[in-house]
Amino acid sequence: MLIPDRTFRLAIETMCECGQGRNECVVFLVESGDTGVLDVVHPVHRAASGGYEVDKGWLARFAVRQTAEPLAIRAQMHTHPGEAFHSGIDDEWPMVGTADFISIVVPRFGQGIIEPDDIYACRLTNEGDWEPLEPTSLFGT
Amino acid sequence: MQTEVSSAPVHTTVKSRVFYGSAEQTLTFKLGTTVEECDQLAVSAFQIVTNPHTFGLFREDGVTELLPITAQIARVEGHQPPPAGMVGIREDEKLILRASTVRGGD
Repeated sequence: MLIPDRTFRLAIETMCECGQGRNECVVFLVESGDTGVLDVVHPVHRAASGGYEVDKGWLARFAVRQTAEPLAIRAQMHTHPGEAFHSGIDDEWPMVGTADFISIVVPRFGQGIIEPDDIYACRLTNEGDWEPLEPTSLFGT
Repeated sequence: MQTEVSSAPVHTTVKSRVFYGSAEQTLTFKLGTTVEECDQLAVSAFQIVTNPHTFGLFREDGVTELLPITAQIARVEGHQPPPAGMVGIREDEKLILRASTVRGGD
């Protein structure tokens, strides 16, 4: 999967605005099976400076929507206050549990200039491990 | 004396349309198995590779989870309630496999 630069920027802007430099935020990169377009989906969630949790009602509504529309969640992105890394909580509670799912962590609540090199990215392997990825390998035009 | 014999079929399984995201599979659950075993069958069918305990089967509304996980499943018709202590599934009922909780943090 290649994430278009504009999608990456929109995801960061969304999380930066939501978190206001104080709270973590999460978005999903969702591919439409009809168009192949990758959209940024910002779920209802609660958040604090040290974590987020997606609203259970939103999880239910989106799951029902997926049964009627061909929507594939290709990646999740969330912010951390400081350094970008994949925590134990990030490992254990992802949105999608199948191989090749991508998780991206953005530092500094997404504030300031964030380049692809600043982020942490990993992929869920067939063995259920999170394999680090070279962030720049995810981005394209 | 003649004994009356019921012609009603005796079912040993119940078939369900299970969705994971936009993917759909028809899964057959053995009656009397637990909800936890049904969850495991679905997790295996959809090749979920991480933390299977964070995924569960929900009814068509996406909200109502099949619980408790230790309960056995029973096949029910229409709005018929399941036997006490069991979880009812209708033939061809649509179920959704999804993460019950999604969270992260540093």
